[in-house]
Amino acid sequence: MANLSSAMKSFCLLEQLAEGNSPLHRLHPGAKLAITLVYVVCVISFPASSLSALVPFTAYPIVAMALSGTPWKPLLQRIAVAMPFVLFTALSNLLLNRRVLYFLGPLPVTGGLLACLSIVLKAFLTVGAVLVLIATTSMETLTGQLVRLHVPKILCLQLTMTYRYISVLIQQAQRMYAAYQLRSCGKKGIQMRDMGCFLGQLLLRSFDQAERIYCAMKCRGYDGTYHAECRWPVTARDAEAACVASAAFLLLRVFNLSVLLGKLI
Amino acid sequence: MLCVEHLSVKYNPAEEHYALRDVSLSVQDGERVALLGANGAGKSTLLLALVGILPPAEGTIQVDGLTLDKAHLPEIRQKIGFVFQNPDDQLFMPTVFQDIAFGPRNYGVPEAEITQRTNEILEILGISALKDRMVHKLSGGEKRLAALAGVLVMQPTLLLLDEPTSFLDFQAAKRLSDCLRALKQSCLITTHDLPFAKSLCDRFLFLDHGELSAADPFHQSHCFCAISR
Repeated sequence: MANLSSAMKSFCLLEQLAEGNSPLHRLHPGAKLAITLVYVVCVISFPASSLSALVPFTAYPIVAMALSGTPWKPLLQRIAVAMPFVLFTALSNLLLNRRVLYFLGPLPVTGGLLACLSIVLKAFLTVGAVLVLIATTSMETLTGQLVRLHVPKILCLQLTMTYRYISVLIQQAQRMYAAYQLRSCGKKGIQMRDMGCFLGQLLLRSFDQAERIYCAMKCRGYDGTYHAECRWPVTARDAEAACVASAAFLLLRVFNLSVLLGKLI
Repeated sequence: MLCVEHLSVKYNPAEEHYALRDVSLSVQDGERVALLGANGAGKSTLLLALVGILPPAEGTIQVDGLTLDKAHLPEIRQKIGFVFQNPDDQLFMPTVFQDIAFGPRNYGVPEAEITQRTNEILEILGISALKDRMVHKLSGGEKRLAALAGVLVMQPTLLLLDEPTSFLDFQAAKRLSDCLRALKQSCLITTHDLPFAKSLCDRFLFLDHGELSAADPFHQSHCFCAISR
């Protein structure tokens, strides 16, 4: 129950953060999307061995969080959720590529180790950038902007509805869990033998609800087309911010700032 | 306004069992009719059949002179506003404004008109403050009114309300009742809430095991007493 409650709280937190009024919140959602996209593409385009070139890119999530007043702790917690999957992929590189490239003191640095660290850092940076985007932009404006950018409308509708019904699903699970607890003689959590029934019921209820939602949509004229509207005028400041940030990322992609600074020193 | 003749509905065409059998009823312009009956009597099934979600096995449905068939379905759905029992089934967009705008956008209403209509409806229902609120943060009563706004914005001529007072406390039910009384649309309301139905509706229909059990005033009062007891 505590986990479900914290999931609900954490879900609401991103929304609360998106309602802020910092310079980053006021930036056009299209500009933020463009900046994030360029950033993500630049970060993931580095080869596995170029770890040092990624270091300057850590500045963006930190600066964006500071500008928007986004607390670092909840964002780090969310990044941590993605990490186990990333670590699984990253650690496999340690085994697959054992060629020693150089020694760091007594420590041999293998190609696998560099690739491993590179994957983890890339995941950390890209997930962080996307989370900053979500924490500074409401889902409504974000999907409206995606439609405007000609992202397939069916995907935008899926995104909107998934987002909307996460809370409904959590609340449904909370109610079921409360009912389970009241009849489970003080046992903690859901017993393994009941887990199948619990999840099965949740799934069946979700199916039923999905059917009712579809009926409600049809009653209001839904014919498979998603109509969204994003009426946020683009100002010169928005365009300027998008261009400057994107140019900075591209420059950092072309020139390895860490190496350049190293040469200077 | 609404004319249903000898309507029968089966959930499974292969089965013998009828969810609705030989139902005939009519609702006049501006009339508010309560549809009463026990759980499983077929009240919600009847409403779903009226908007073409469940196809009739037999019989005809006419709305404003249009027969419910594939060709007239979009037009009929624009004329009928269906408020579902659980507002969570109906409020599927992130904010109240977006959800209210969902229907008109599907029918190609210009954006400026959608905004104007939305503001008007929110004003009428007294929920203007909810316009930009996230749907999942609304209370039960607020959700119900937001769902009602979502269908009223399409300017329907007939409202179908499925158990509108479920999940509502006395205050919220009274507020909803006042809102519905102020509307000029015809209403067909399924409910178990007899005080609510008595205070709002001009006429009562009783469904029993899929059949309309009484239509004349004498039988109506008899059934009403039976349910009230």
